[in-house]
Amino acid sequence: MTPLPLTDLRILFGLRWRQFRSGAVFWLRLLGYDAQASSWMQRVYVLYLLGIGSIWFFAMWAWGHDLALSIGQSLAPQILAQLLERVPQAVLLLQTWAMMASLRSTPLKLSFPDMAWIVGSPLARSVPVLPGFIRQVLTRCILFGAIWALLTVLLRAPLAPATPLDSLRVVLVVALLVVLTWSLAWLLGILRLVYPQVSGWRWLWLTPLVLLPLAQLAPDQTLWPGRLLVLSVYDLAPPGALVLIALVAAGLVASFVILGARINMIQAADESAVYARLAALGLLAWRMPDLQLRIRLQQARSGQKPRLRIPSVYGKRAMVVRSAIAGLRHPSLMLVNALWGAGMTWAAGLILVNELPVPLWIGWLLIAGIAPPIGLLYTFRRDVQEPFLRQFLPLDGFQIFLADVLLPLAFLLLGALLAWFRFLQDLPPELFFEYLITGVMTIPLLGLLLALCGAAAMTATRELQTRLLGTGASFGLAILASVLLGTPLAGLVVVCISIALLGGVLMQHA
Amino acid sequence: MNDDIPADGNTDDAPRDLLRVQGLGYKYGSFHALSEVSFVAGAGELIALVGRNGAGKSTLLRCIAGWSRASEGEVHVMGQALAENERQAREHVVLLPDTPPFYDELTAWEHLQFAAQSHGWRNWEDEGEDLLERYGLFNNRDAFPFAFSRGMRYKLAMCMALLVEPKILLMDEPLGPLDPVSADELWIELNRHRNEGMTILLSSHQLPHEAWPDRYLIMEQGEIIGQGTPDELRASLGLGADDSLTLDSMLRAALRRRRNAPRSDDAAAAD
Repeated sequence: MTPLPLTDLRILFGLRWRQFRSGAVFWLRLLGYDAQASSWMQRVYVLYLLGIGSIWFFAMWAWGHDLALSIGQSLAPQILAQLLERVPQAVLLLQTWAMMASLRSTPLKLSFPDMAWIVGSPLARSVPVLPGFIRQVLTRCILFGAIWALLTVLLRAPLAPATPLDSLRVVLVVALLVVLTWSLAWLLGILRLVYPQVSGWRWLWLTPLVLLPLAQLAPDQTLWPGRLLVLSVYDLAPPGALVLIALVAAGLVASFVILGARINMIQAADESAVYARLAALGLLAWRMPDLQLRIRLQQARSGQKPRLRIPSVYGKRAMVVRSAIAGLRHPSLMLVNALWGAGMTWAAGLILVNELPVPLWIGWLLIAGIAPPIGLLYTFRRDVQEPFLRQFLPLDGFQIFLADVLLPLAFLLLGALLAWFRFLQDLPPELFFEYLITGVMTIPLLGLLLALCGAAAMTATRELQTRLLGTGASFGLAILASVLLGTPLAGLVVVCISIALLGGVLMQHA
Repeated sequence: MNDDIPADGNTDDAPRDLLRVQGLGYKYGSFHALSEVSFVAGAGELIALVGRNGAGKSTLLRCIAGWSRASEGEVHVMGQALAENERQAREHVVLLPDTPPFYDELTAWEHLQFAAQSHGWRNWEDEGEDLLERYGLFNNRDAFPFAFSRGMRYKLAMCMALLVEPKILLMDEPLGPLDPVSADELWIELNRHRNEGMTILLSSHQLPHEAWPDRYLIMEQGEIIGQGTPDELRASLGLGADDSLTLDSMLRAALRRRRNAPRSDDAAAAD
């Protein structure tokens, strides 16, 4: 028997195509398409939707292109140099993460229908491997390709505007690196599934972390993929290296497909439990990131003994301590809070000091409104959105908010203030103290305001819209007041008024 | 409406002012989930809410607990209007939904601990242990509830509710997730709390054998189509002394009577 029976493979690709099509039909139905009625009008309507979608896509792409160009043109040379220096490290981080993820849990993800119909079927065990790999790599190629197409425009802007060919070349290099990275990760993950005795090594998944200190000792051997990417932006990448990468990636893919015939499918199904639960939610999982997060955290927590104990404290102090323990039992959420605070502060500092275009402030506000750190209001959401639990809390909404947000906000502010302090190190001494004091005064209040916008939105029917509106209005007005009146104090006054108003909303409605 | 029983449902001389529901209505969009629901419940009464799927039982319980805002009518808890003194009124009411949610990061014991300590209660531990023991959860006290079965989750919710000792306990389908032995035990517990003065209103499609609530409220399409004690219902629904009074027979008789009754607009036209 060949390691990859083509008939079986064709059947599985057919199944995946049907699944993709039903997903697409779901989205089209949301836009008014009637899948049951196979009339010409409906087909024309699909074409119309595709046309409108294409126009929207190209309009957004053009906007992104222009924005990247204007940012690139206004970047100071030392900032550009710093960015280029960070790219290889970022690429290495991503590669390390991909390998860790594959070693921690099976790279071959099975949904509940897969477990029922594919694992139990006479299909060769290697058959689900290739479609699974292709699906994972395709989504990553699209995501990273789009990001790097815009980054190419940004990074080339100080020299000469990038042509579409430049972006295309970089996207091809990105695709090669994605295939190389994930084929290596899949090979490691499948080796673990083939040799079950290796699965017993509890900390095996942490071994790729060795690459990070190694990057300091042997940068040429570890950072070359990122460097190649940077070189390709300026059309300096040696073609021979790209051919070599393609050959190595093909070899890796062939290896894990052959090894796939010996996979322990029971273990793969067992380790796919979280993925299967998320896949069962379908597109709802993307609309409800909190639910997605809860499922992941539940899985991480199952089988573990609880860390820390709630001490004998009473009343409001019990609320604060409980929230703190809940936070400390999810250290990853607290870390994400700190990283989010640091990243957003750094971005704000870059926009502010380099006087980058206004649309970037709008983008910054949109990120703050659409994707605030998920751990900031994790406990509060549970407290106020589950009326069963809410009835056991003898406090008003604002008091619950303060108790729940104390620790996550502290982590957010810690990350933000450290990032601000580090950012100011590169500024001239005369600006350092002015910016430092402004930051220390502003950042805690803005952090509190961000949390309040999210919390108040949870009391509304349309949470995302309310949060966007609240964040945009309160932050936007503060920025406007600072700019128009020429002093950050004006902005601070607006922030304080917003905090008071939103606190009142929570007191009444949460 | 059952014409044998007054509009407010007051059928005897027992104190009936712990929970008063008057002309309650609730709409999902244009759909009337509840309309003109009125009844009164006194201290130490156990009332079963009976009706087909979608009759409005859960919606009624949610409106009484203040989880959903009624579009018309009033709910009075211990003499206080829920709409006006929501926070105070809600302190006396606990609703157990059919699938209670929990905190993912707290164990079963910590749920009780948190509920007690956030209320400022000291020396609650013995009672907490006793509750977990009685409901068969003591050995799972350090486990996370998300790993519990549906029945165990309901029992933990019950323990939390009983720990805070509400005056009014509302239960949505309490017996559905429980095994027959646990259901019998729960009924014994409910009787005990009823005797201690707790008012219990539960919706259910089944009751343990030989379980007799004080009163029944029969609902259909958001309205109460019959209410009263078992004897009153037997009389008003035309069930003979030999007919067994089960939820099934009661519901069928009430629906039959409703179908046969002249519609109010037809009656008005005939007048």
